[in-house]
Amino acid sequence: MRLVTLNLLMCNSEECSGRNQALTLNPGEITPGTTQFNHDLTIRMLGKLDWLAFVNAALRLGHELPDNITEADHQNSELIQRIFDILFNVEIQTGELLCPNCNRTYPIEKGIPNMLPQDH
Amino acid sequence: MSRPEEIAPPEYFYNEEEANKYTTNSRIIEIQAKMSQRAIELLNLPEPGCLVLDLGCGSGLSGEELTECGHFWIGLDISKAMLDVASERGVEGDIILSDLGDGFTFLPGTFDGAISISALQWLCNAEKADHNPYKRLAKLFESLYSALGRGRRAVFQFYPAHPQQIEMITQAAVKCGFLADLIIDFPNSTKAKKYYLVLYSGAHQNYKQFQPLDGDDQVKFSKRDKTHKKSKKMHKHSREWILEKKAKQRKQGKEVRHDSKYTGRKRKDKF
Repeated sequence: MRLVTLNLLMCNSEECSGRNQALTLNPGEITPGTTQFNHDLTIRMLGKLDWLAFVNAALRLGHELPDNITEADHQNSELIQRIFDILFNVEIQTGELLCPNCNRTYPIEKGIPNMLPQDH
Repeated sequence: MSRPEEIAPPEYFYNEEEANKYTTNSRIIEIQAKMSQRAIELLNLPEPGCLVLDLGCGSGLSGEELTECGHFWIGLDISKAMLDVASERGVEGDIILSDLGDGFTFLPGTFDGAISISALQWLCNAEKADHNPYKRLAKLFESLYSALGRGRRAVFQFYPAHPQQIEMITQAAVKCGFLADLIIDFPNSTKAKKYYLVLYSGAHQNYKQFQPLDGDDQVKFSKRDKTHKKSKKMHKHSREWILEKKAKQRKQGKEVRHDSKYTGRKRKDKF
């Protein structure tokens, strides 16, 4: 699971319906990824991400990012490359996702988050 | 035709043995790749670098086609074994273990498109006492509608067991706000026939822009031809008979040799 998915994914429990929240990560093992750099994709993602949540998640894993991204930064290829690497090339192999609203946890095993309801 | 969805629920049917077929069986891989390519064509994404949702991604065969087109994908599937195969193969997308019938939640309006290859028919069966197929489909489409950006599309390739199933699926989708269009490729062939449900979220533009492969998906009406009986019956194995048969097979999407002056000609005796 990459940070991009972590940023987009929200809690799906019935309790949270209507006020779904982003999940927080308790990281376990983390490996570097090998996804090839894609400039268009990164720019496109900038318009979609919950930027603050992303900055916080990155900070917890030891990557620092600016609080704001402006149009001018889109030309800054070094920054875009760095954002891409944090978004797509940090793979969370094990760990746990926690919903701050309903306190449900979702385990991550072999890089695959398990979003099934608990009775499975 | 075998219908695996009638044998067992997907999380049990796609066990390790079944999942391994998706890496070793070249026929399965080829069919999956072809259907994915067609689905991506129908999706009509504006440019590479899009974020696509893959519903029922399985071992990531459809996702690989997306990667090839320069898109990034996030896949959902209920079979752990299939996802394990996907991660062993090192697919370039992100995969999540999730039940489509329970819905899913992403940041609203993030996805540029969604595809689903041979997954929808699995939702048409009630696997548990508390499952209601219509409600599960509605939940899926509701989740999808909120995850997709406005004016975006979702393409579902699926194998309906009977016409009522198509009706149930489209009804559930339309109720959630989608415009639905059903495209049937190779309608004259039992084997190559493929159903694609194209859902449009929001904008009307480009609605119904696609045509099924190989034309006639509509039933042609004509008055019964009284002269029909009088028409001469073709001799079996005659040139006309062969040409007609080849034309029919071409319509079914089969591979057929081209017609030439030698078509239907007899060999010399001495051969």
